[in-house]
Amino acid sequence: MIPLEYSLTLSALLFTLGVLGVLIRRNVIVLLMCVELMLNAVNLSFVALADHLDSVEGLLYVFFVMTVAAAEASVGLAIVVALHRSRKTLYADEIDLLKG
Amino acid sequence: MREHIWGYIWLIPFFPMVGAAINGIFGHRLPKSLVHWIACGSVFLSFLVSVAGFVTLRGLAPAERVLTQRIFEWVAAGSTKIDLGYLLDPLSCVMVLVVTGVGFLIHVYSIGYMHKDPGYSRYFAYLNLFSFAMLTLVLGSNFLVLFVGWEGVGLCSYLLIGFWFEDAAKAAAGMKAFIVNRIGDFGFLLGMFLIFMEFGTLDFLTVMSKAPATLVVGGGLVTAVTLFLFVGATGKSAQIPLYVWLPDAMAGPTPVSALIHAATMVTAGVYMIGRTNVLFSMAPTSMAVVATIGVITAIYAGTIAMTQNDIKKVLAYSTVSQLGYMFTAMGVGAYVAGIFHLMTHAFFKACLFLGSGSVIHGMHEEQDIQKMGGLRRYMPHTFWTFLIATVAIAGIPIWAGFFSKDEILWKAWSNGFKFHWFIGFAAAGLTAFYMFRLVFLTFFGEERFDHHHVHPHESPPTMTVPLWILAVLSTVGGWIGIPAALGGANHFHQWLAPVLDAGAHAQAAHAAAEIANGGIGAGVAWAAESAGSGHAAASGAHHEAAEYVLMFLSVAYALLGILVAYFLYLLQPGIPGRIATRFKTFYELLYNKYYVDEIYQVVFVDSLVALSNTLWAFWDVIVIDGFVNGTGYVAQALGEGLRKIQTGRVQGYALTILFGAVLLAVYWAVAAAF
Amino acid sequence: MTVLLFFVFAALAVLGAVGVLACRNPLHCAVSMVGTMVSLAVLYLLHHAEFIFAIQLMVYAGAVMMLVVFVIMLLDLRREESLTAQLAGSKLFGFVLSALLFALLLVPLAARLTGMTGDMSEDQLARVGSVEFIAEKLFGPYLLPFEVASVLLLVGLVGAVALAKKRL
Repeated sequence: MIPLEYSLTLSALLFTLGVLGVLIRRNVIVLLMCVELMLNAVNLSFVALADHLDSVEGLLYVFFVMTVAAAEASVGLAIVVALHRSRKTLYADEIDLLKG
Repeated sequence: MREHIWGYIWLIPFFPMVGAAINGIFGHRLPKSLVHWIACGSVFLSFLVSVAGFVTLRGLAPAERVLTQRIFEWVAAGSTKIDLGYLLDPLSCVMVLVVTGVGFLIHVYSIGYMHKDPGYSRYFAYLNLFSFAMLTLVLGSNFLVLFVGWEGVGLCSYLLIGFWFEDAAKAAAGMKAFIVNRIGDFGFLLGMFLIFMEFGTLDFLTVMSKAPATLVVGGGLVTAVTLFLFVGATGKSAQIPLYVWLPDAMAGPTPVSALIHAATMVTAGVYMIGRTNVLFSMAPTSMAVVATIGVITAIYAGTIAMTQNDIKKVLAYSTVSQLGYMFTAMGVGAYVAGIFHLMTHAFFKACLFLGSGSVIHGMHEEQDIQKMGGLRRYMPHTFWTFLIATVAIAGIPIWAGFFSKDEILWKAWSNGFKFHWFIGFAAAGLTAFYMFRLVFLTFFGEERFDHHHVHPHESPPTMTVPLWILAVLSTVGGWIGIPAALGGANHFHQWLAPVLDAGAHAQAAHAAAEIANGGIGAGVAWAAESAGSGHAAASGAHHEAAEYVLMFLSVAYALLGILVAYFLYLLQPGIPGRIATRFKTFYELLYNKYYVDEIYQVVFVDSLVALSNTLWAFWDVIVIDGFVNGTGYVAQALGEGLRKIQTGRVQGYALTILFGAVLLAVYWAVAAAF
Repeated sequence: MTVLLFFVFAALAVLGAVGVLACRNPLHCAVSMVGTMVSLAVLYLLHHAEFIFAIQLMVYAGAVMMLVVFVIMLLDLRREESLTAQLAGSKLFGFVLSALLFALLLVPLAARLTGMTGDMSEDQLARVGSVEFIAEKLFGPYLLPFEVASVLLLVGLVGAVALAKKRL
């Protein structure tokens, strides 16, 4: 049995790394991957707690999160493709048409 | 109860109002003949109803000749109730007959005079509107209705003076009239406020009946009230100091000058004093002021009229002068004489103005008498009617002006106003002189116009028939007021006596005379000495002797004036020019109207404009504009600063979100810990 | 034993995450990501969540990451400049905030859990396996979310096609 604290700490660490990646990286595809990383960290949290509490609902949440994350990833990548087509760039800090 | 109700009074102002509405709204689409039929017809109908009112009044006993009609309760504010009501008594009856009668003749005259004007329907609409307002003024049963009419005639005066508004000078003349009038109206309003404050009502019958019991004779309140009302009268009736608008008002069409500035509107002030004579009789100081200003205006305007070359300007100053006579009459307590002169003046002055219009019309809009002469051969009707009216105004016996003017002068003398009599007497001679100067220069003598370009012709019957009617009235109009001294019954005096002859008049008049004579100064020792001896309660024979003497003196003096005019302008026409050059400064002073307009311009207008500019430069530009512009500037600066936040870069936004989330988390952690 | 495995695969997961952050070539990042996904899958297994282990490998490591790799290939991306060159003031602030976030996320560990438990016990788990348990719940009380999720997937599918088309 894995102690709950270890898993949750790992989850927090992965989440933080994901957040950092969103803030740091310029390439939008890598940005999307960091978002996926955040979602995965949350999944780990759910699974750890489900195991600790002997609850199956936790696993159900993971199921749904994964579904939504997959849909979001596909749409996001479609947007990236469209973005590349119109702006010819994939760097987040170069996409600033809404600059005030 | 003295009053009777007569349900037809409202028709008198109603007909012109309808005429004004129809011509005003639809006039430009109607054929000209329909326009003038509506306009003249409405005034004629009012005249008929006025005659019916007169007949009804005659059928009543003299003490009961008061017809009222209450239309509805106009103001009901708390315990204050003011009605929209009409009052037809002998005084207002005289006024409505003059307004509708003379007004009708002027409307008919206008058909010919304004025939070619593009603003035909607008003109008649304004004229009808004026009649409506004037009739409201004289028929009002309380101060408020009178004031509505008062303001209405001021408005119509503005509209009609500035009728040809495309000319900036004419439009300015209209504005001048309105603004100067407003100054007087302010005084009138203050008087009304004081009356309301004291009596709680503005109704004439109530106020006049309560006044003797409520007010102190010669006291501060009644003096203040009457002086304020008189200020309004100086504005409307062109006395010193607010007369300056009337000469400029000659910019309007001549029939307008005849109607408004000779026969009716300018007489509103005189009527108002007649209406409130009970109050004036209780304020000897005010009476003295009225009489003094009246007589000084009379001679002042007369001196200016001697030098003017514009035919209408001479008549304008003559009007100011004659109005001065009317106020003199009111001031010495001869209220009936004042109204009598109002009526006769309406006849002959309207005739004179319409005659001058005929001359101007026939001379292709020429108004300078130096460019006229010998016109009697070309315009016989105009000439004869003008001459008749001039004889009337000069005060030659038989003609109307003699009886009314003489009654004023006699009453001034007999009530103790010796000084005022003298000034009025002097002005009368001037009147004869300058009026006949006008006649001689215009209709006699050598023809000083350019025969190639100007072809004088007589005017059409629509213009000459009213002239003749007015000329006849100028001749016989005075016969209803022939005084006892000359064997007449003075019907006019009897007619107006119930309204204008309360018992206190004689005493008030003498008290006023003493104030007036004392106030004028010790230098007039003769006047002061006479004041002590000139009480009217003298014996009958003595009384009549003085009257005949004065009468003889006036007539002689008038004839002298005519002779001098004849000499200077027909026999030796070179002399006036030489006199003018010899006494250049004096002549210039008179010709330029004592530079009063210029003085007013500098003292009042320019200083106010300068003050406004100073205030504008600071308060408007710096404070208000600064505040408004500053608000915009602040918004802009704020925006400039805030817009730096919007970089358009998603990662920046994500950072901000994270920051907010961390803050929240810190808060929760801290909250959970404690 | 499980704890040891946990630490090994935890370290691998973190390493992969750091790799995503640090690699200059996006393809390297994608591969690091796959590594993280697989490590996480093993961790799920260690938590007795066999079903989740399976679908993690199939959906994430298989489908999603493959999609990402396809897009990277399609768009023919080049190398980026190094991480340090991209650092700016706001990015440093990002570092600080992230560290703070990590600290805050650990705060709940100090609290006690409510003590509620579910109805999945070990011997039951051994008898029927987590798949059946999940299926019972999914097609029972949680049927509506299940159906809605499928609609969501359809919407995502249509949206992705629409967005990526050359001409609408």
